[in-house]
Amino acid sequence: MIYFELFYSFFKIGLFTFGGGYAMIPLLEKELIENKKWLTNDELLEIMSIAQMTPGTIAINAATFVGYREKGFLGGLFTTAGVIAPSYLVITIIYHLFSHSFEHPIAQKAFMGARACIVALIGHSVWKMFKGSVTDRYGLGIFLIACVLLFAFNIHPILLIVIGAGMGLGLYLFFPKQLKDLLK
Amino acid sequence: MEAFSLEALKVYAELYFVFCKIGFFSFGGGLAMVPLFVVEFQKQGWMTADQFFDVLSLAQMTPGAIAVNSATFVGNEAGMAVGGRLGGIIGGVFATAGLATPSVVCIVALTELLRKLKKNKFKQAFFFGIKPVTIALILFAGWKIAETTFFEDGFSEIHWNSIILCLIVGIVLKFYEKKVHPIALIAVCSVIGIFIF
Repeated sequence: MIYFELFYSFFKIGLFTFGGGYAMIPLLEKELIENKKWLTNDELLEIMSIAQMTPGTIAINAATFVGYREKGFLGGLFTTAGVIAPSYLVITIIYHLFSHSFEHPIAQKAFMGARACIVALIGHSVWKMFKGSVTDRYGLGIFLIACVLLFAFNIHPILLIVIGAGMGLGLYLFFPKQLKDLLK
Repeated sequence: MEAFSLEALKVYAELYFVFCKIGFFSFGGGLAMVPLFVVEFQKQGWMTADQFFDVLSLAQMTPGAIAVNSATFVGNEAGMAVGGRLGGIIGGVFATAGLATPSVVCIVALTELLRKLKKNKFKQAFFFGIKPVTIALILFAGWKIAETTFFEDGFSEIHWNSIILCLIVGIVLKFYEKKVHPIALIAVCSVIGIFIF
């Protein structure tokens, strides 16, 4: 049952995503690239690019994209439901069973441990993506400019994406020869 | 049943449409939605900004996307006010479904567009520029998590045990990447966290 498989994969991913959509990238890599072989590394990076420039949360966008690509509209619905379901269940249970302030010290400590792990996981994913996709000086240049704008100037992500797209298109318009071999 | 009264049904519909709207107008991930959330909730009288910041800290601590978690919580709160416990459970479904709708619509449309442009050089140049930016954004997101995990009060206090735990995980990933599942690592580190923090 491919639909159940899609749902279950994204349910697991949703359940172990802590701290926002980007934290799911290491899980997507393991589950979708290594285990299920639904995607390649470069495709995942493309999906994340699309997910962050499309309205909506990155996690849902990425889930819909993968499901739709694999099994059409119904596939998209199953992956979306899968990634949402853990959030819905956990929050609803906490809301009704615990008091509104859910700040149990043990939960917070466990959360601190999980976050330390997620930092390492994201760092590792970034390194793999960087090695796999930034293979020439043009890509490296764009990456460095993006880092400066983000870390030093705290530029809004959407503006940065527009600038990145502009740099890609500009390179293609002004240096078509150099870029031709790099585009695939 | 009060959960199916006319008034409750009206709130469910409102929840769906308000979250649909929030989903449509937010770009760049969950935290970019926060200002939209606050404005809409105050307008609807569902909660104050202060209440919402409590929800936000809960949403960041629980699994899943921050925006989805917040939507479920607010849906429960608004639904419960008109339809009791069952109303809350239903309200949560409507709010969460509303948030997901724009994603599904936009992604489906975009996928079809990209399929048509498969060999288009401009599309390829577009992604050539955007991919390094995406990697930078992911790095930045990782740094934001690191900042709040490793430091407190703007670097005045350093949590050395989180830094060491993070480094150990990094070493494990470097040498045993293929053998360990990230979920297992997160679970183990949560347990370790209970003892070292």
